[in-house]
Amino acid sequence: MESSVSHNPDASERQDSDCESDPGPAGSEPDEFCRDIAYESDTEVFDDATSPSAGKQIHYEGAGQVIGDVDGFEHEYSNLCDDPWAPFNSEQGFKLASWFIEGKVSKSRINQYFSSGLGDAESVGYSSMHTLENHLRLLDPYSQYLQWFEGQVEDGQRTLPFFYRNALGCVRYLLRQIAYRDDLVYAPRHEYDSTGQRIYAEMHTADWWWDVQV
Amino acid sequence: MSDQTNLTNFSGDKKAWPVYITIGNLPSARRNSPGSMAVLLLALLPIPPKLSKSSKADQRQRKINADTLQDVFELIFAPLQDVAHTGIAIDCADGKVRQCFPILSAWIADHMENVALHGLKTNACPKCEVPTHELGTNARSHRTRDYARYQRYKPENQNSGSESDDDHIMCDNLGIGQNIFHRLDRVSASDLYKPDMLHTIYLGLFKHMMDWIEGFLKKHGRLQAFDDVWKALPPYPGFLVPKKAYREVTQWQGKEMRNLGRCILGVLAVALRQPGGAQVIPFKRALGCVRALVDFNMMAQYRSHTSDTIAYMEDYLDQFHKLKDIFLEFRVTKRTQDKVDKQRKEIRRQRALVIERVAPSLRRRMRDDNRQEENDLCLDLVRGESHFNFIKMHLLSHFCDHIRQFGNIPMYSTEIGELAHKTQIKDGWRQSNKNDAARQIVHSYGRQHAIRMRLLNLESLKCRDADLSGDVLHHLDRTASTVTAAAPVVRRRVLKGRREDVSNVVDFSRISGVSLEIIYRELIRYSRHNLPAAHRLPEDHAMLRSLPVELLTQLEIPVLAFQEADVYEIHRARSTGDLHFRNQGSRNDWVWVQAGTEEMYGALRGRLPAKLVALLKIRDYRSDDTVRRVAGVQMLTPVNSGRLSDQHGLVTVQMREDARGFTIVDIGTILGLAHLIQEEDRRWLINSRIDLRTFNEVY
Repeated sequence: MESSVSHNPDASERQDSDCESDPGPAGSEPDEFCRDIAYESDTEVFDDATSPSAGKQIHYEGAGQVIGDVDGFEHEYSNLCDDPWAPFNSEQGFKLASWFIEGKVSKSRINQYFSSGLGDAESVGYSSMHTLENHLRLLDPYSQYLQWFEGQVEDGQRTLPFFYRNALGCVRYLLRQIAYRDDLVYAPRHEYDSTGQRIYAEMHTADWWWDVQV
Repeated sequence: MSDQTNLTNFSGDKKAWPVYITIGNLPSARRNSPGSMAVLLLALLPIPPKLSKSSKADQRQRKINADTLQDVFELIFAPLQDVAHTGIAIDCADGKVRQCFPILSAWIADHMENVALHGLKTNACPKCEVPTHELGTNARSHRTRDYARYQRYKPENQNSGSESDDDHIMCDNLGIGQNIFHRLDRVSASDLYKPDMLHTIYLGLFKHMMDWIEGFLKKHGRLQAFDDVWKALPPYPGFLVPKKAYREVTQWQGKEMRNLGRCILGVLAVALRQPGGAQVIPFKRALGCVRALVDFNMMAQYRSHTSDTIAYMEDYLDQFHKLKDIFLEFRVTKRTQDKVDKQRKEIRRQRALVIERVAPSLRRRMRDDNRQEENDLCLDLVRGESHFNFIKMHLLSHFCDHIRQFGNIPMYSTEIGELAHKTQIKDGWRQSNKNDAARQIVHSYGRQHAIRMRLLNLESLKCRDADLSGDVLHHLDRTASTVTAAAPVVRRRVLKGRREDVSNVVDFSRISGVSLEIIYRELIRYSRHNLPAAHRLPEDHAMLRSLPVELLTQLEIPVLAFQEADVYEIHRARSTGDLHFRNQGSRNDWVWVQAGTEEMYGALRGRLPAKLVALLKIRDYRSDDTVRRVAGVQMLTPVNSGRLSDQHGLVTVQMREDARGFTIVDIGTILGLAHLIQEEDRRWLINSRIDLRTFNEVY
């Protein structure tokens, strides 16, 4: 919006805003969802653990139930607010690190940057790729969930390495991120449109999730 | 709780086989958006060497590979197995601990990987037990695959070879190795398969369809017409205008095929216009078939469905299957072609014997008759031998059920893996020293991930108005655009690109070639219809001439994205007059103008396409210095009162000879860009398949 002003240095530009009859989004959108969500809390249904065979859905007893609070959550939360750049000692330190990493600066160039005195190691808190990496390791408090493991495969001719993470760790990691807090869905829902028709959109609005949980 | 894993092969000299994991608890829009960081690399596996088909040693090697693969995946899934029955307490982001059952619920991969992992043969459906000869039908009642049962039967088969018919069908199509998922507790292996838009539709059926269409056009001599229309397509947001003729394009990728799906119906409809006598019925059937497939594809892209839309999809699919036979003769395989040639030769040999005994005067007539008969016979053979039994044809039949079970289709597309490849694998590979690259790849991305995740977390705190210091917020504002693609909410139409050479209506008249008389008339008409009596423009010509006028070249229109409440796409309508736009000729775009009420103009429902001729700002200094933002357009009128054609289901519009060539409208009535395909002079087809919004609004 700003750029249209820049094309037109005239001061009275601001006045031209009221003269269009912009059709509002509400009336013109037939598919506007009436957010008429029937939210149902988890209720226990029988648990069928006989056979995991195809075509038969299994209920998960108590899935998604809240069973307590996370220890030290408030503490962690306020820590993040008070010291958002930890373990970097300043915003500057974080920004520089971010610039190095996102810009894909090589290890030797980063070391060169500090050794040639271009950067102020004092104020950013690290002075080489090595110390920067130490900082980065501490940056993500849940990085232990994402640890890499190495395995070997033998195919009869060669032995090849492969790498994997703990799948459960990955799930824990994702569920724990504050960034996703407002988006996470813990139980299925039925959603209806304005005419009362059931909506099938996201996974949690479709049948399968209802079959296995609730 | 559910997990979703994503696996793809990316090619090139060096190959990697990454497996990704993410969670279904995140809505797909968030999960699959580039900046969300919600797709984690779970494993990086070695690629098994390519083996030849026949040799015994390779057969053994194949078995070893399959077993190895099984072991690797068992190792990877082991942590999930441990908690499948008991569940596990997991800390969640809202500060609560929840009882969770992380189970594998989807496996996103292309068909070849799916069959490999499910232990099937190439043309077997991972979901149900459809026999090969029924792949091309629309039967949806086949039994769901029960992989645990296969496992029990398999050893017996190999030993005894005696089995009941039922089991025979069941074990038909099973390949070497077992389904790597079948041993996972509480995971239903047949439900893991997810329909994939990219490979089933874009790279699958659309590609086949284009082969058929090309054959069809060739047979009916319309190939040149098709190319001409193809090259002349107008631009549209998100639509890549083809620069070459259709036949000159050698490589088709997913992106191009998607583009093609958006315009093929219109292009074909124009290429097949005015059919000759015998062509009417085949043309109509061909268009109907293409239309059904394109519409099915449009609907499959919906992010939100009701039983109505699912019913539509089923109808389109039925329609497609009913009409597809029109293209049967273009499904010729090499083997069939050989047979045809042989038959042709045989017929000719016999004919030659007959013809020798006939008087020369009769020979010519007989030859013509014979040629006709020969062609018919060959066509019969081709039709008899060809079939539509290929796997992608069958996979379509699972789409509708899948929506009811697991939600919309696009969120399961393999395309989401492509981005993860780019950031998590390819960039890491480029940075590595290519020696023991896998190790470096898995570690290099971790650093970036840590930084971005912290930024995302801070961002989310910001939204909650937590106590963040001012400079943190400031920093976030600046970095936000690089991490998350947070679209700014723009709801106003914006005019841009002022031309220096216009300062009043006289200048405008000179530049646009529209006579002053008409401009005055239209301005007054506009003012009388749209403006409150107290704020009308002056009706005196001399006064009108004295008003300062600016001519602009670009109008930005925020258009609400389809099925979204607060996401806007920006349509940039350009009207450069006779000036060149980026050295590529002038552009005067087609736009939709709200011209009447919902009931008017049939399927267009009150909206008419128009050519944008000029964008003007007129400053009325007499009335509080108000600026009137108006557009000069050339309105088109619907043919056949805006009804959909029963040939191709599109609306035709025309520029009538007696119509006003220049109309002034408020820019508020311009709703967005329109996509029109020229049929003939002064006649256009409205391409309503160009995007979901238009598809939904024009019917």
